[in-house]
Order: sequence, then C-alpha cells, then structure tokens
Amino acid sequence: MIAPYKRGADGQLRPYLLLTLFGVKPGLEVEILGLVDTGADRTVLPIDFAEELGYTVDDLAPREVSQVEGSASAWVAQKPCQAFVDGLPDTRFEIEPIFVGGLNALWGRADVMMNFTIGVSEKDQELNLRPN
Amino acid sequence: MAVQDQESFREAQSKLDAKEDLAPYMGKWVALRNGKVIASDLSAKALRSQSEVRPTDAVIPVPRSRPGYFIA
Repeated sequence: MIAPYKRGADGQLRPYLLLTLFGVKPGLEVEILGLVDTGADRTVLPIDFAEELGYTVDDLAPREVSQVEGSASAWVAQKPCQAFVDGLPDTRFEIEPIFVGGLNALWGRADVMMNFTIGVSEKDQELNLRPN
Repeated sequence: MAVQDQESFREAQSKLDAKEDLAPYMGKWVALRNGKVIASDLSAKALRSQSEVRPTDAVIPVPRSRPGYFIA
C-alpha cells in the first residue's frame, strides 16, 4: 500500500501514518496520527492517550526515556492494545505503547515496523507499506 | 527522530516534574501544578472532573513499580 505523506500540526508534509487503536477496555477506539520513526525502539504516545485507551495506573510501569530532546518521564503499557493502519483494516497487530509527556505520537520498530516492511520515498513524499 | 519543538517539549516535561514525594499517591493519578500535587484519584477521568483541577494541570499516573530505562 502506498501512503502519501500527511501534514502534521505545523502544516509540513512528513511520513505520518494514521492508525486506529482499540483500547484495553471494550468500545474504546482512537484514531492517532503518528510519525513513522525508525529511531524509536517501540511506539510512543502522548500520556493523554493512556486514559483514552483505557489504561489504569496498574497497567503502566514508569520509565525514563532518552531521545533527541533529552530525557523524559514515561510510562510503559503492561498490556497491549490492538491496532490497524488506515486503509489496511485486515492487518491487525498489537502495540504496547510507551506514554510520554510532551512528545508527539511516534510509530516504532518493535510493533508497527515488526508487522510491516516500510519503505520511505522522500522524493515522492510517500510511504510504501507491505504487511509481513 | 521526533518532530518536536525543544522548548515546548521541555515545558511539557517540566510540568510532569513533581517537586514532592509521590509515594503516598502510588496506584493513583495525580494532578500537578508547578510540581505540586493539587488532587488525586483512582481514575484520570474522575481526577479531571474535580473542581480544583484545571485543564492546564498535568495529569500523570503514579504506578507502584520502580522506573526503568528506554531509548526512543
């Protein structure tokens, strides 16, 4: 599947992907636009999504996260939510997000990229996704 | 790589920096303002509905487990 770059909050085209995440409680479904990030070990989401996806305090473990802007407080989900990429609803996979304050959503290697081979064409401003 | 303004990131992170011991709140969500706990509750939704909690306050979980380390 070819996924053209999307505009972020600042209006710039980047390799963003829209994912639908199903929370850990029934009936919770959230669409999240995140950046495909080969530098992220696993998926990172803003902390506010923890509540929207139904995680309780006991479902989260604290972590210190190191990334380009410096060290950050984070909380790792201890149980997975289900997800699919916009346009590929039949390919469901699990994500155990890391929730961080002050960072945008980043799709990481251990979950999104473990389930898709992703090519990036900056020239054509598009992503090429192939389910693994 | 993360598309992020460093200043806004640091500002957001500073809001999460508690200036008091959060051990008494383990197992709860807390609302922080200037690093101080304003209120706590078992659910984030219930916490946000408390009258003393403002939309600009940081709402964070206080898990019972100890911190680890990760690279994003």
